[in-house]
Amino acid sequence: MAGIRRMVLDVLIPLQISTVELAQKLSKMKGIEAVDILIQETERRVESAKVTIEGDELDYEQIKSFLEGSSISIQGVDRVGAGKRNPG
Amino acid sequence: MARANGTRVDGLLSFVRKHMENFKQYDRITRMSTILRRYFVMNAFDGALTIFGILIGSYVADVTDPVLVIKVGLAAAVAVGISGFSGAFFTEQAERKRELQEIEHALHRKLDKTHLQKAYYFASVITAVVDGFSPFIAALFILLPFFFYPLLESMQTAYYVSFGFSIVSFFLLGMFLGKVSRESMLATGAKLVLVGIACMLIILALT
Repeated sequence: MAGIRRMVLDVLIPLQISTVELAQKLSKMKGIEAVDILIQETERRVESAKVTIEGDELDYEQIKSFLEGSSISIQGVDRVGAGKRNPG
Repeated sequence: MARANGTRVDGLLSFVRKHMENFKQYDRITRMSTILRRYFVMNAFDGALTIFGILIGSYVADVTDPVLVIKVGLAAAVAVGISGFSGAFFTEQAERKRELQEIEHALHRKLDKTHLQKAYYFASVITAVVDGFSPFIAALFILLPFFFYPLLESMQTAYYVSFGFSIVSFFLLGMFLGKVSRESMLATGAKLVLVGIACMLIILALT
């Protein structure tokens, strides 16, 4: 079975959490090759953002547990790409 | 043997490094270092002034037993320390909990066992420790001459050295405030010394 190569997550990030550090930590995780965090809106306590993660065989459960442990709230999975080649 | 010691030192260093990194992260999240700074000066001054007052009272009452001064001073230092620790812990925890609840509400989720919760709890504990220890250490410093009473000529000398230590601690704490506020350290040091002198005059007028 071909693995997940890309996913876009809709998340809420507390303002206390550094998105730079978050991106760095995510990119160091096993199987992750690239991370992109796009802030969409900043509210009083949180930022809403789209987190795009790319890799060869992404482990959603592992990513979810890392994000939740980092105090981030996953609102939904906006987009998923899987297959033998990178989705366009 | 040397290699074993080296491994132990490496282990210790990596332990310290890891915790320093955590401390920096928690500090960035909670901004505790500014609160710590404030609490440190406020409570160290609290402890120093309390012991200074006790010393003036003992001097006026002509207490000539150094052990008695130490016992009374230490009891007061412990009380101020415990008051500082518990007061800071409970108030900080209440404030942090409230802030965490607001974040939880904005995130639509609980934050139990997360990085943020750990950071907030850590900040409460560290604040309490600083709040508890700073007055205790300041008090201990001022009482120091009485511990070395046999080396000093008389009880009066011990009192005078202690008064000197009090003024020095007021001045140092004031200087620290001056460094924080980027004002003249001498001026802020002198301000706290003046507060100490005012306290002394009031006690002398009352006794």
